[in-house]
Amino acid sequence: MLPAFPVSNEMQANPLREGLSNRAMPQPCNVVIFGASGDLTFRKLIPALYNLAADGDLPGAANIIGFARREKTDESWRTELKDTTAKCSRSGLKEEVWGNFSSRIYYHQSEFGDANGYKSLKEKLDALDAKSGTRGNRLFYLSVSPTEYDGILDHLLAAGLTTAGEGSWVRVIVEKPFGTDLATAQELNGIIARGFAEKDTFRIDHYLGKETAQNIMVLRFANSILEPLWNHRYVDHVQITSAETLGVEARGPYYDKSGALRDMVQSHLVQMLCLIAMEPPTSLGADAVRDEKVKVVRALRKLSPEDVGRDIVRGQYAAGSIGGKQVPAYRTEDRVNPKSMTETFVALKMHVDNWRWHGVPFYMRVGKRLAKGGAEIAVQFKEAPGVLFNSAEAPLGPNQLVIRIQPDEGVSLRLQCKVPGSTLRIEPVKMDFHYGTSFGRQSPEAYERLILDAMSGDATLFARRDEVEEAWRYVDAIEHTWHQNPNPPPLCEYSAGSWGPKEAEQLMERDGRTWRRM
Amino acid sequence: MPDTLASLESLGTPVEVAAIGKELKKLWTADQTRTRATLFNFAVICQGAAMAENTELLSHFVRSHAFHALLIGIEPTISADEVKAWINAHCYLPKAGAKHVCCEQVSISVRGNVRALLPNLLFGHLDYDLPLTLWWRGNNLADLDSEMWHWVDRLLFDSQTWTEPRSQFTALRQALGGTRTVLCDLAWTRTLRLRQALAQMFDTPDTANALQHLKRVDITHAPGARTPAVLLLGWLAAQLGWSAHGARGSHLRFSGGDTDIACELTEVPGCDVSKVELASDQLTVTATRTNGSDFLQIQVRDASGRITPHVMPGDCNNVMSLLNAELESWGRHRVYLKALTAAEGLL
Repeated sequence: MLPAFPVSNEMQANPLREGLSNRAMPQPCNVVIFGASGDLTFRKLIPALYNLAADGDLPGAANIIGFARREKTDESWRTELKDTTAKCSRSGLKEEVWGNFSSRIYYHQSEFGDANGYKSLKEKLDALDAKSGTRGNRLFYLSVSPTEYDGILDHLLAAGLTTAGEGSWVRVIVEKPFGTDLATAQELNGIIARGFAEKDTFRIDHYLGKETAQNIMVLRFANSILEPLWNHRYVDHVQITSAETLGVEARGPYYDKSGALRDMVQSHLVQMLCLIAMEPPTSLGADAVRDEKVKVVRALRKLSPEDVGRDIVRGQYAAGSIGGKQVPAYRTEDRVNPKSMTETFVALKMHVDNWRWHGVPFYMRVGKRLAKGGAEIAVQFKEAPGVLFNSAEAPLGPNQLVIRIQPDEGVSLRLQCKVPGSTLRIEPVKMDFHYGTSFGRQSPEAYERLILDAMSGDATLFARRDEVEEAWRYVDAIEHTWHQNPNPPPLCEYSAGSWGPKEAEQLMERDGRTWRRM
Repeated sequence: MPDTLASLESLGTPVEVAAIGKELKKLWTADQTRTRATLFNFAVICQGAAMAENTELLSHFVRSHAFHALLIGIEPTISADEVKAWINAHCYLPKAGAKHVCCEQVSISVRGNVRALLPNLLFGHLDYDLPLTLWWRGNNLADLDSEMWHWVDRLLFDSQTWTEPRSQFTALRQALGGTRTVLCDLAWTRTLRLRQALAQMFDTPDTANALQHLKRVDITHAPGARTPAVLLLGWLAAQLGWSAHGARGSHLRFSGGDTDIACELTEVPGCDVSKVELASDQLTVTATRTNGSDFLQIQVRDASGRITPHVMPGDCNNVMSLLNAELESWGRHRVYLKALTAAEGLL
């Protein structure tokens, strides 16, 4: 839900809400986290739920039940969670809040494949419903490997835990990756659909919970000066970059099967592209927004093997140095195949084949072990006409609107300006807006916003089934050319700490353009 | 004029009034490691002796808001006209390695015919094209020229400090006339966290129904804090469609539909409003807060006797938290005006 969303009928029914936050308190519910002993639960999910409680956004009667294999008691799990929450929570930990919050945290020990574990889970949830007044409202968070989904969903179904009672709801949050290709995504979505309707399925992409990502729609549709320029008549091209200085860290086995294209492009970057390229939705309702986003993915130009060879560059990092330290090559990273052909970098030239974006290329680049970390979207406008100031001998740079996703979230606009003096000299200047400077308050973590939205049943910031599958359809064509074509395009090497392979630079140079310096 | 040497120093560098703009430019060009941030003009008008205290407040406030501060200390009781000015910058480091983020403060001390001197001093030193929020910390609004109100987007004041709130509200309405100035009453802001918490308790289908059948409202407030308590009552009355049926001291009666609502205001030392209890036959919601805590303790008791505790943000309202809360809620205060209309006869 974006800030300006209309209030729901439920909120309008409460006259005391007028003039206050338009965000109603979600109904009391039980949140069941599968994978309760996992890193994500400790570092992100529980701190996010704690911060919701500290901000007064979590219903007082909400309970949190951790479901995992390891043997623990309620008390021992609470103690572990307290330590990590104190470290990972953006607002620290206040005893007054923790006391009340932790008294509603429970641990449920069971194997994911043990039917009795689900039977006893149901008994526990029913008892909590009676004790806390949670009315059978349930939110299942699958913070586990997708290979576990099938078994967990079957057992939830068999135990009758996916069926909502009269006036109640049962929802599921699933973590990325949503499959590894179109076929597995369809299979996964089919599995989830056995237990949950699409409106009750929340596919989490934490990029969409970031403040700047949410601001893209506000920037585009709450300002009248941008939308008239937001098309092929004025925009020369768009660059979307997501760069990391980190390598694969402990994710070697996962990453080696995935690669940059599947890990980042299919999900985060395509979502960013959709927000930039979509038409104005008819309302701010979840489906209205997602209808427009999926149209963008459907309009992505289909790629032939020749197109892939020409317009897409894949790379893998070799040894290099970052921040004054030597770092190893990808193939020598922990638990990575020494002959791996997995890409750690990809640069793409894409086209959105619709009226608005006809002839405007969208360039994306994403990679690990690059020179600098950060994510941004740059909209580069066409050059000013070549008369008066913008001569062929001394061309001026184009105007650029840059939306910084992370770090240092903000927006900047590059304009041309006269340098003071008796001669005519023109230099680019940057009008810069920084969230951190202009608004002193801390932004909530993406997970806080997304979990709260799922509790409230608002799916706007979650990927819908057709969006996910269409994105896979696009990505599969590339993967197919790379891995199943008899003459695949080369896997280019780049030094760790650089800005990627030289072929990525050439991709832009061929079009008379350059990547932005971040 | 600020009296002590220490208070003069806190106002920054003394400058000629006519050279304020030029001196501000020098201030920013002298140090390139600082970023100037401004989203609105924040003018504070206070008694001359309170300028140091308000400077201290602004230096803390800069961490959560970016503004161009104009602090004007007035002393209308002095006969001879005298105007002095200072400039200063309040900075903080948002994170290690980042540039300092700074907001500038222009301080002007005005003695004598304040009513005549003030408008130009205010208008002449605003940052262009930004909205103006004026915090009135003076005694008498009549000290100000009515021309000023057309320039003020938001007027902050604190009716809790007023000795004759009913007549002072009337005077305020007259002074503002047909201007579009948004009234931001800190006495109303003091009830914000309570209103948010109470409203949230009635969001769910289980509790929403009880709202239409409230029979009792008890509010505990500190001595001298009757105004926010009455505004809170006015809010309930306005939003729930209650009509007042008179008051006897601390006992007030309302009716809503077929239901009579008994209200009780109790004076107990502590937070401005330390406890609110709303009760119907099915549900009792109790919100309490204590000095020193950053949170409200809420208890919801249903007809079966089950108690659900909630902990929600809500400190005891220091000035900084009140200002933050007020300046984060841009827009018009339609609900405040409705609550004020419902409560004015009870003040």
